[in-house]
Amino acid sequence: MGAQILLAVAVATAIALASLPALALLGTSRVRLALAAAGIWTFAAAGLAYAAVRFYPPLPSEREMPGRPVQDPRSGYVSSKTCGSCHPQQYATWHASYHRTMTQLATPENVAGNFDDVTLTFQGRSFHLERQDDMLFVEMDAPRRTGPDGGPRRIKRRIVLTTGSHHDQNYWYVTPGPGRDLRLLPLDFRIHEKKWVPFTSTFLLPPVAEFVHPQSNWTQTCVKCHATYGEQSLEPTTQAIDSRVAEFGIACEACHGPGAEHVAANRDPQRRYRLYLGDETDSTITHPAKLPVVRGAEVCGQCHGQWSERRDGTDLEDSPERYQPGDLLEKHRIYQQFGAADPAYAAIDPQKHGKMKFMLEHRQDYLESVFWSDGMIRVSGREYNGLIESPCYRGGEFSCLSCHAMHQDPDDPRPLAEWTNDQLASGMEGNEACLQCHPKFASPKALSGHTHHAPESTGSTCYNCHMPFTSYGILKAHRSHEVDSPSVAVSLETGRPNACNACHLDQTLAWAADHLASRYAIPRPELDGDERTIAASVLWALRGDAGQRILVAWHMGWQPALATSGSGWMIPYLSELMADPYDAVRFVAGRSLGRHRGYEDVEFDYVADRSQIETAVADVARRWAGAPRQARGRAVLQQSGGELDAVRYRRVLAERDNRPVHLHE
Amino acid sequence: MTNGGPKTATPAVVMRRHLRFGWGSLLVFLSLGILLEAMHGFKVGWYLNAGEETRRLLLTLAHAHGVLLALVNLVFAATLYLVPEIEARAVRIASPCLAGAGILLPAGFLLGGLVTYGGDPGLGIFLIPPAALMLFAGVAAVAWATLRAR
Repeated sequence: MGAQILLAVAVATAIALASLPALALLGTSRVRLALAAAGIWTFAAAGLAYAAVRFYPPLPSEREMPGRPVQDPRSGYVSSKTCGSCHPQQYATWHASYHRTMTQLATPENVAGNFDDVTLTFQGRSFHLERQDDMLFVEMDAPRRTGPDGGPRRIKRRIVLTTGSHHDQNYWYVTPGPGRDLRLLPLDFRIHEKKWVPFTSTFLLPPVAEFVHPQSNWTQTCVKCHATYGEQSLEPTTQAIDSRVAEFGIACEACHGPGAEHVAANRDPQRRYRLYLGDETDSTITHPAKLPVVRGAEVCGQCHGQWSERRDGTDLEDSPERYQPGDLLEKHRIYQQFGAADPAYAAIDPQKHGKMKFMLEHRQDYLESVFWSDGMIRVSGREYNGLIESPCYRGGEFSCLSCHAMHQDPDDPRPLAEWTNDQLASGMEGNEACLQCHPKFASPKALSGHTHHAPESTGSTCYNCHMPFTSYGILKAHRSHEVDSPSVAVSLETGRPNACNACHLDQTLAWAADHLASRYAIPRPELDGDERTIAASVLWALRGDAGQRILVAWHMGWQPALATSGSGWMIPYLSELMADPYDAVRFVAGRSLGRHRGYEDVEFDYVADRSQIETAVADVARRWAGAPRQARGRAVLQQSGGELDAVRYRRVLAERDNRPVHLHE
Repeated sequence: MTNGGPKTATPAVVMRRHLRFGWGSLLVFLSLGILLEAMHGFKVGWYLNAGEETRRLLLTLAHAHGVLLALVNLVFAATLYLVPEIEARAVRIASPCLAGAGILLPAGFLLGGLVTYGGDPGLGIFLIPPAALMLFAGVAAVAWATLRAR
């Protein structure tokens, strides 16, 4: 503050001195008067400046801001603002992306949720959200402590950071005491639905009897991937956590590495124009697209993967040897692959082999929360694990950047907002992505010869058969990023829906197995009676576990599946799933129901109390009872005339797999 | 036989030359301004996209410098009319310098903006330093001669 007062005085003095010649021009007889006036002016201005600073003290700089993680570019990092001055196109497309807004300061313009004196109650816990000027606060029951009367103690905390801006937004509040760590607000704001929900209701996890405060703290949970170059250490005097990042969000240097050397070298215009006009690559910065294909994919994999730390600890936030884009990723981390447990892998990477062997033998519960039983990743955000298991990847030419682009091509005709949804490269929304390496399917004849579907149909879209929606996260299904082919045998073995039955929701596993056998010579597996006679989607919806139910609930709102399978017959199944014990299943089912004609206006609050949910489901049943029947056959448990076969329905439902499922997305 | 010494244009000739150049240049670069406004009006991505900041800046500079230099040339012509006793040597320096700067400065920005390299302009930008020196020399010569003229 002292420096700013001095600056104010200096400015006032300079203005006064600069005015002296003008006053002097009035005539020599008035010089003394002018000097006196200037002196008075100087002191008055200084006094005003002091008062302004005294009563409106300036905020501490970002790097000194107390109580929360701060942006403090060090270790050669320079921040995206520096990058943007020379790379405006790249900066603009990144700036529009959800990568940038993954972590933001909780300012009114960054916050999606409503903080205008909102009071919410979930499972008997009350939350009051409010705004004071530009600051946001929550008043709630303390997570653990009780008040003097034995009841929960009320606390009021300031919200300072947000996570996410696409589907959900989470909020982090300041904890009392020294240090820069934050705790997670146990509420989540669903952006599209414009609705506050308990944090636990956004995950696929078994129902909780009481309101749960998540144990997450920002520095442990978010620093590695939701910010750029997070560093954590202990403050020397207080031993409190000091959490610093180069930049909030996933910024330029998360993928390109630290930029200081690049910035310094390219102050030289000769060097810049030599690089523009020549073929030379700039060695002062990492360019993922110019790395060897595998290394380039690892840049994405540093965050979009499921890994464990290596024993040498070189990937910890306080390690000077931690991963930087362009490094060999597996030098720092162990990416979980079931195949590494194979004895032959011990010679390749003994530590990874030992780790996976241990996990398969002793951590099945954990693996089941992330992988299907055959080792395919089943949660979103871990696409790199799928990629590296894909046969395409083993060819050495296939990487994330084969289909995705982190900066929208200037010639891409799509609006920027559309591109940001999945950051697919221009033209990669359809079969062009696969035709890059499989050009033999380019002609409509060759394509339909392979797919046995009309060339323009969704059944001839490569993605739909080879990357079906079998991963789950953020309350929706995602495309698997492990490229494979439909297999009924795998569906039986793992429970994972196969692409045929995920679209042909009214067909049985036997139907899919017959078609795969006759068209692709894939052997038919052994099927039991229900698997031969009841549609696979019905089996997954009624007797499947929560992981299967949520995927089939999502597919029952997927437009290609509705076009292929009809829709009216799905309503009883969706209303069943809207009453599911798992919050996430209810949400997905309710959303899918709204995509069926005649049910678009159904209002369904998936986190309401049980009686309200039952009322909503009963309303849907009444509406369905009054609607004309669409006969789809016995496979979807219809009697002749399209009525539901309640006996068979209840029998299958009674076989439901009620094992708890918790997917760690 | 004719005199072998350098031919010197009369002040009237120089004046007319700069009037023609000034008005012509003003027409060209005002037209560029209209074109730029049209690109705003029709939301032309090549000019307006967030990543085209460099191009937008350079084309705007081309328009502004073109118009300004056109006006400078017109003012030079007016100076020759109003201050006929201005030194001939200063006119010999200022005339080509102001005309040259009037072409090279906006051309440098224009060419630099047509092809850009991220935050850097295209190679046309290398016209700017000599053009700036010419402008400085021309203005200095006129200023010096005008101050000395009686």
